[in-house]
Amino acid sequence: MRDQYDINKNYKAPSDDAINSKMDFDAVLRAAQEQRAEGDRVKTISSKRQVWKRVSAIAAAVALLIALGLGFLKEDYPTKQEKYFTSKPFVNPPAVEAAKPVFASYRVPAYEGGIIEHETGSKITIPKEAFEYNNGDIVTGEVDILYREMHDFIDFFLSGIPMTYDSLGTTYNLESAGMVEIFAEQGGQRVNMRPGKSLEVELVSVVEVPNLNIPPSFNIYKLNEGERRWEYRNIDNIQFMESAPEKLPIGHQAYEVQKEYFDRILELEMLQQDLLSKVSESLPIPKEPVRPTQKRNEALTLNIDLGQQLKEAAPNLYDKYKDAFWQAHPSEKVSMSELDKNWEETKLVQFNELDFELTFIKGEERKTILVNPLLTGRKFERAMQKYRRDKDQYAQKMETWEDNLAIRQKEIKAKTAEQKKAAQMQYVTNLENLKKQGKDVDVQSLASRTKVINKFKADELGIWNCDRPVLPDLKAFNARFKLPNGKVLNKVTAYMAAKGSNSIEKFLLARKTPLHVDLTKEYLIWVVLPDNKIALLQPKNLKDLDLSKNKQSFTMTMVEDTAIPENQLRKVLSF
Amino acid sequence: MLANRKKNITKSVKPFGMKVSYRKKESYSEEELILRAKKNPAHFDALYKKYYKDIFIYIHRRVDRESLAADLAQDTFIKALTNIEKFEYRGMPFSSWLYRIAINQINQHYRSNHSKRVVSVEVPDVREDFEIDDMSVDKEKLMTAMIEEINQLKGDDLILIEMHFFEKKSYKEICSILDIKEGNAKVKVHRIKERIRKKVIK
Repeated sequence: MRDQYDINKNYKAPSDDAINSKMDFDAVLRAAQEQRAEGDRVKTISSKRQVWKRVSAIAAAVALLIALGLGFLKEDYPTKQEKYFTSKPFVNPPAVEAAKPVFASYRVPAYEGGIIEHETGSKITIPKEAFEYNNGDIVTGEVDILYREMHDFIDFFLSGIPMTYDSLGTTYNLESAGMVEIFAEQGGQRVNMRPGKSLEVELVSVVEVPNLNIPPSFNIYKLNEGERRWEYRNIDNIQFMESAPEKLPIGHQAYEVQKEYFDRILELEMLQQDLLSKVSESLPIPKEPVRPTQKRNEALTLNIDLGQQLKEAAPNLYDKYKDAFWQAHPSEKVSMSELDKNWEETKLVQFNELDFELTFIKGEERKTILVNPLLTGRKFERAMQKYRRDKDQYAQKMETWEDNLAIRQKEIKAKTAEQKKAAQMQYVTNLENLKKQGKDVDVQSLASRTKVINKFKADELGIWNCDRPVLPDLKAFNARFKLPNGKVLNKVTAYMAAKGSNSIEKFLLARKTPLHVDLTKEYLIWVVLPDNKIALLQPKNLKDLDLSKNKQSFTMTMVEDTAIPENQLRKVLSF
Repeated sequence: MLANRKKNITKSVKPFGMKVSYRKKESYSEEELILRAKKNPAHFDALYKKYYKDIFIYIHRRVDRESLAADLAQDTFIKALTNIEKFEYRGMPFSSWLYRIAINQINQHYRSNHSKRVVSVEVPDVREDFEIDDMSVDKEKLMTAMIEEINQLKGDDLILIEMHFFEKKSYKEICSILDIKEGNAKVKVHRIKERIRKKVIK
């Protein structure tokens, strides 16, 4: 078999002087500042490297031509995927009939600006003279502001806006708290934002808030379609809306009901925390076997029979070490002359599996040293054989322990989620009862997940996203996707959404697709076929996988209708 | 003499009932160093000085060329500084983040060059590492078995083995860099060890 690595058996680290001579912080600072300023990719700072890179590029090009000529160029999956998506528009709505998130149009006098109040409660503040024509002249008269919001994975799917974010060579998924797209037109012609002007966006969205007193943390990203990437712009100044439940003043008609609900949620969260911390205690971690140690020539050996004391101090180790040598621990600085006395008695106390404290006693005088029982010859070999057997068992026990822990943690979280849901339903019932009693209570607003306002400044027109990057799930295996007729899907765009995560992942389905998942989550995977039909893989298909197999094969189910409206599509993609 | 004595006393005494921490102005905690660098990129130099050597050697072991290691190390720090605002101090050591960036830089380098990745194996006491007490087992044979095994490894498994056997990093640090659980790492190392042992001990 061909070696895949170049093994260097005689590695020699460069000297400190050689390493220090390579340090150049000024160059790092300069390059980072340039990159920040220009929003460019990292520029190579070493001219040597530039030359080297050019030479490499030429060499690579030549190699590529040779490889193509010889016909043995084989692409790996990431390259295939990159090529596949690069050949397609960056914002690429799927070919389905359902309506795309539609734009609302607002007419605003450009010379004095104005405030747009969108039906969702979002606000866009437009300063005066905010727009210019392509030639740089200030737009006069009225402009049409085209505005749309996207809130969930189905909106993201239909809009075709990618939800991946590349940073430092790592691809993250963007989990969104809401996205907006804003354009300005005059007479059907696009106009631009003037430099130095910005729109103040207050996007109302609904997010999951794990801690009711702390707004969740999101960032603001702007889509750079030209460079096909999201650009980090700022931190999302996220605020709970005034109508958010915890803001209800004492004396409000729903105050008590709401307080009861939040007390219950807090109680459940604390209980969950408590149970999670207790679960590892209830499942004691397997004890790693201790490797027996051989007699050390350099250590002080004690000519003393400690069999009886050992039996009392550590009965479980008696058989193993009853005839052992006892030597002073390597850290002990004791000399034989210090111990060479007529001691009246000795006392042995176990410190850990290998270390014992031995105290010599004569009247009031005491001398305590750390000692180890050590084996020699066949006894050591036997102990080693046992140790290896124990080590194998330990590895198996560790695996079982991890699996059990994950199961227990999942059970606890599922139970808490269930209890929270019940508490929320009770809360809604209580609110409805208040309403029936004639109290002025907006049930829907109070019972929904927490409404927040994402505040940010948009200094360009286009697509803005309130997100946070999350690492793709780590468990990877090769997956093959088939249609019910047995046809293996290849070179098709696939979409994946994880329950509870407001994101969507777009990837290339190949004959062997490395799929990254966390098996404790639920995923829905789907594709839009060339005939505009949708094929689905339900979450249950990804459960109970045999993870010892690196290759998995899945058969998708077909959604027969081709032209389905958005509400039906939402039903199809609900999970 | 008196001044020196006073200085020593001041450092070791805490006035009763007051929480006082004596610290040189320059000795910032890692979290403070990161915050300072976020506020002013010029302050990133403290982190650069602190971690340059470790990152350089980490890369050098995997490319085996000083000039290339220097370039990739510089690129690692440029990326770290450019993106430092995104680094959130949540207990993960800053060094782990740097190692992750360095890993990406190395991968990117090999992806674009299509050359064989260098693995520097350096095991001073190969028998001890593989817990082989049978002195009749030839060290060379053991090394060959290890290299054969390394050639089967991919991605994070290779990095795990490099960091564990050759760079002697603790499981805690390895797991922080690779974002894996300690139990998983130990089990993986154990299995690889066993496979190698089986190859040499019939």
